[in-house]
Amino acid sequence: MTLRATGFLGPIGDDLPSLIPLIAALIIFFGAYGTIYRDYAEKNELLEMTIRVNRLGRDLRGSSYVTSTNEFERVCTVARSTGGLKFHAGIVKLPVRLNPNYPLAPGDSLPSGVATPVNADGSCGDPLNPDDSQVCHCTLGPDCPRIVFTDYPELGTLFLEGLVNPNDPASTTKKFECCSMDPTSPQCQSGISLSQQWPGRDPFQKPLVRFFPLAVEVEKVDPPGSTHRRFYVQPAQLVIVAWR
Amino acid sequence: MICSILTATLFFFGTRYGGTVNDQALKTYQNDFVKSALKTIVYSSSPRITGQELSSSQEIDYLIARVKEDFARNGIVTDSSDDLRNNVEAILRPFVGAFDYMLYIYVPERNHFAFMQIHRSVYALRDPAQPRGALVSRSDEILQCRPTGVTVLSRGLCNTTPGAAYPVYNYAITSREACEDPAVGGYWEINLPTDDSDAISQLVQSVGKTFQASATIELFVDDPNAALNRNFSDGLDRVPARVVLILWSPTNVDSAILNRLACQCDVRQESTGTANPNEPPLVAWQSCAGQLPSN
Repeated sequence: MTLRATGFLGPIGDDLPSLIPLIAALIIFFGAYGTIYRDYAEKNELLEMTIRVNRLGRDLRGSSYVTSTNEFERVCTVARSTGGLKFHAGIVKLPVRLNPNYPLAPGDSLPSGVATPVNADGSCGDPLNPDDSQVCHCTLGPDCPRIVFTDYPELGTLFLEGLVNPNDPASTTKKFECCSMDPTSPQCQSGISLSQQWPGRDPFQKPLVRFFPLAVEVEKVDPPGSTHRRFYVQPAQLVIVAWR
Repeated sequence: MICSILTATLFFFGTRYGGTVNDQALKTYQNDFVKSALKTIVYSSSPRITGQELSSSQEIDYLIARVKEDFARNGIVTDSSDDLRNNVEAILRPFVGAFDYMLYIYVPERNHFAFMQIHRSVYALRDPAQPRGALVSRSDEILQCRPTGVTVLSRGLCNTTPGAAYPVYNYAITSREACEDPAVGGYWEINLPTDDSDAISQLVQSVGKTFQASATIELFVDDPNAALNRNFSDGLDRVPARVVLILWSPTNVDSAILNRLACQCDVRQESTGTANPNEPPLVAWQSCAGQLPSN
C-alpha cells in the first residue's frame, strides 16, 4: 500500500527515464568507436602499403643505375618474395619527343606540327581539371599519375628491353618488367595502366603509383653485324603500380 | 556528458591519426624521387655530336664528362648546355605541373655558377574580366641563368689593405700575380661572398617546402692564376663543384629574384625538321622575346 501511494512502478520501470539518455549515449559512443576503428584499420592498411611501396621502389631501383635485365630480374625476385604487396612495375623509356637523342622504340611517336611551343596555350591535359576551368596542378602524390599517364601514355607501355645474355648480341631480349604474380601471365605483359584489371583487385580502390627516374645501360653493337660492343646509359622511368 | 566528451575525443584523434606518418611517407618518396632524378641526370650518356641519336651515334660519352670538358675549355658550360638541359627537361618534364625545379652546378672555391637552369610555372588569368579567376592558365618557362658579378677565370679581387677591418679593393688589378707583386702588397681574395648565393636562398625561401639533392663532382680548369695549385701534369687545376637539384610545388617566383640571378627565358621548340618522319625531331631553344617576362 505504501509503495503504491508513492508512485513506485517497479525496479526497472522506476529508473526507465534515467536509462534512456544513458543507453542513447552508449549507442552513440559505440557507434563512433566502430566507425573510428574501421577508419583506423583502413588508414593503417594504407599507411603500411605506402611504406611498403617506398621500400619496393628502393629495392627495385637500387643505386638508380641498372645494368642488365638479369640484374633487374634478380632484384625483382627478391622484391616479389619480400614485398608482401600486389604490384606491377617496369622500366619504361622516355619518349623520343622529350629528347631527340633518345632512340625510337615501337609505339614511340614523333611530334607532329612544326615549331609548336610546348604548352603554348597553357593547357595541361588534366582530365580532372578541364582546360577552361581550373589551374592545372598536381602534387607528386596520389593524384599526379593520372595527369602523367594522360600526357605521356607511353610511360605505361614503352618498356625497355635488354639482352638476356649481354655477351651475346644474338641472344633474346627481355623486358624490364616485374610483377608480384606470374611473370608469364597476360596481365603481367599488358603494360601498366591505372585501370589495370587484376584478379582480386577492388576496382573502386585507387592504385598507388610511384615514379622514379633511373639510368639504364643499353647494349649497342657497333657497327651492326660486328663483334664490337659498346653501351650507353639512357635515362628512363621506373613505374610502380600497387594495389590491395 | 561523459560519453559526449569521449566521443568527441575519439573523433578528434581518429581524424588526425596517420596524418603525420602519411606526410612522412610522402616526404620519403619525394626525397627518393629527387635523389634518383639527380643520379639519372649525372649518369646519363650523350652523343659527342649534338643532335645525333644515342643508338646510332659513333661517339658517345657520359654527359657529365662532356660538361667537364666544356668547363675545362671555357670555364663555363656552354657547348654542352643544350644537351644538358634537354636531358634534365626530358627526365623531369612528365611531372611538370607537379613541381618546378632548379638545377645548378656551383664551384664553391670560386663562388661561381657554371650552369643554372630553372623551370618555373607562371600562372595567369586568361581573361581578367572573368569572375573569381576561373580561367587560370599555367605556362612553363625554362630559364637559363648566368649569375653576374663573377668572371670565371679571374674571379677574385685585390685587397690592397690586407688585415684591415674595412678592406680597400683595387678593381683595376685583375690577376693574382699583379696583386701579390711586392710593389702592390695586396692579397688576392677569391671567396668573396656575392649576392648570387643570397638570391638562391631567397628563391628557396620564397617557394616554400623544397626537396633537394646534391652531388659532389670534380671539374677541371686551365687557370694560369692558380699555378700553385696544379695537381696534374696536363696543367689543369682540379676544382671541386656541387650539382644541386631542388624541387618545389609550382608557384609564381618573384621576377626580381630571377633578375638578380641574371636569368634569360627560353622556350623549348620541337619540329620534325625534315620530310622523313622517322628521323628524330629537332629541339631548339629560343629566347622568350629576349627578356624575362614579369609575373
